[in-house]
Amino acid sequence: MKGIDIKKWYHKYRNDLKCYLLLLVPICLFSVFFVYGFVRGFVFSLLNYDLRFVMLEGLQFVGFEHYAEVFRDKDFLNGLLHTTIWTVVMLIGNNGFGLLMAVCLMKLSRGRKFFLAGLYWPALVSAAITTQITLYVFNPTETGILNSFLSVFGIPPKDWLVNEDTALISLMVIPFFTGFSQKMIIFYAGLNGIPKTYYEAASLDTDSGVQIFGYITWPLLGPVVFLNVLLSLIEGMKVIAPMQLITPHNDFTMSAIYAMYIDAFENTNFSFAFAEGFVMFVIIMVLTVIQNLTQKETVVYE
Amino acid sequence: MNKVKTKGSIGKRVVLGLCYGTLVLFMLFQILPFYFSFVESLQPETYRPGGTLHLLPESINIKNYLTAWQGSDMIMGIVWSLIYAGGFTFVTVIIISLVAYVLAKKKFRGQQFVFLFFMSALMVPGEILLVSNYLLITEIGLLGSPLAVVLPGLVNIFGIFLLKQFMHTIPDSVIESAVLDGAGDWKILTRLVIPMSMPAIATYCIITFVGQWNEYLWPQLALNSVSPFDPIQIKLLMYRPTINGSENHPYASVLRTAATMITLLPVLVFYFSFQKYFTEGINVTGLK
Repeated sequence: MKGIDIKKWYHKYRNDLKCYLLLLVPICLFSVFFVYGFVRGFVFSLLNYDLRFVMLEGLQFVGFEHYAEVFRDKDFLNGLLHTTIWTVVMLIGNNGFGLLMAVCLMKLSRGRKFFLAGLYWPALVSAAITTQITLYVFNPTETGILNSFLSVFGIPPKDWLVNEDTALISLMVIPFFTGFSQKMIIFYAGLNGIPKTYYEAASLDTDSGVQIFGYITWPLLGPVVFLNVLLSLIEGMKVIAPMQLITPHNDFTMSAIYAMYIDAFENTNFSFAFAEGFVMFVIIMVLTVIQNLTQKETVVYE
Repeated sequence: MNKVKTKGSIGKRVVLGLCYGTLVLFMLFQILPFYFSFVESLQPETYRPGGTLHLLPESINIKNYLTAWQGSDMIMGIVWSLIYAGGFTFVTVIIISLVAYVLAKKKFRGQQFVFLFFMSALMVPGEILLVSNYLLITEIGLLGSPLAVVLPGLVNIFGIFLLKQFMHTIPDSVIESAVLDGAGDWKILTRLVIPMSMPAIATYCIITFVGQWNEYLWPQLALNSVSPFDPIQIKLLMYRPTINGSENHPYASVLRTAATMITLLPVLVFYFSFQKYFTEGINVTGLK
């Protein structure tokens, strides 16, 4: 009797079992490195898991104490300010120049592929290489390009990456002017998706490129602009590489995620670092939601 | 009538000229820092900066590259980077095509739930995982092992999403006829679905490979400071040549830029060999 039941059951669920068996390894890896990591991060943010003291004090539940502390932490707040500046500057620079490049590319009848290839490669340059290049450009002695350029006019060398007024700006200059590649490609694909007939129809009414851009290109490009702005926001809020590699432990360039990194891996205060991570997570979520709401208000003609 | 026409074409030419000008200008912005570094990397040992901006090196010194290559132990960095990037890409592409195939082309109970389960990771921020995966790797004794570098990111959710979208375009009838011919899931996946999804898979592989090659933050944590398994990026960051005990000596800077150029070269070669996957790949990812 029982044997028949199992047979029936097996027959009924055989396909499902097979599918889950195929997914077994991915689901396990995913559960360990994503789900467990996330849940554990939250649980640990409520404990006192600080390797410097946990042996003496014993593992304790401290509630949301760390979260309150995060908003009083000088390094984190300082980092949040710099991260916000970085995000806004990169959002404007990379999307502005990216769109400009894409619009210029669309005007060309020849050489599109050449310019596309020639403008995209910096997207593949690693953070380590950018670090070395930036260190070289802003080198405090006359070895640096900037100082040796200024020395032509008799201006003495400055320590750009250390001074309060210039440190953050120095980090931002190169990514601001050259970091548009990824955005350019997305804008370019978006512009190519706008049907030519719209432009032909518009060209009967007006010769003004500005008008055509304002009434046709910009509204139809809405979803692509939305995507690019969202990508910029998420990338910008997570910035750590330039701060960590080019100007380590510099209060004038500290970013929020770098402050978290220091708390976790240098101070070994993992609970506090998790709290900082979750605060950043909530900030990014809120920004995403706000951006989604503004998107709904713009009309898309399609 | 004729006049208007000429005026229009002159205006168009001016616009076209401005477009070319803007594109060239920004290309220069991108190239200049690298060009100056390249010039610097060729300077001779006797080179002393100051007074002028060097548009060309005083003399061409290939020897710098040899010194930097040996001093930074770049060869082992390249070997390990190839292992990490190659191994990671190979395994992750198998995993994500398997998941995408099961989610796109099979029907089973709880399918929607499994899909949402995976997609929930898009919400999980990488920086929290950076810390918790470090703790996990430490606890299971993998800290400092090359396996720790590649293990956490293998299930790439974005890749699953991308491939699943692509696989929806494969007609069900093709798979049904393969089933009638007696092909199993594995055979359908490797002989039919993967070859038919090649445009998406190739783009994914190439982007993943470069991403892994360029990674420094997680490998640095997983390998725990200076390690024989360091990838090329960390070798570059760790390379601090000193001349007469000083890191600020002009020739030390020359050697550092030479090491930077050595690190840059493989990426550029890779880029120009697979350039169309980068600049046209976006069409495969579903954005029109």
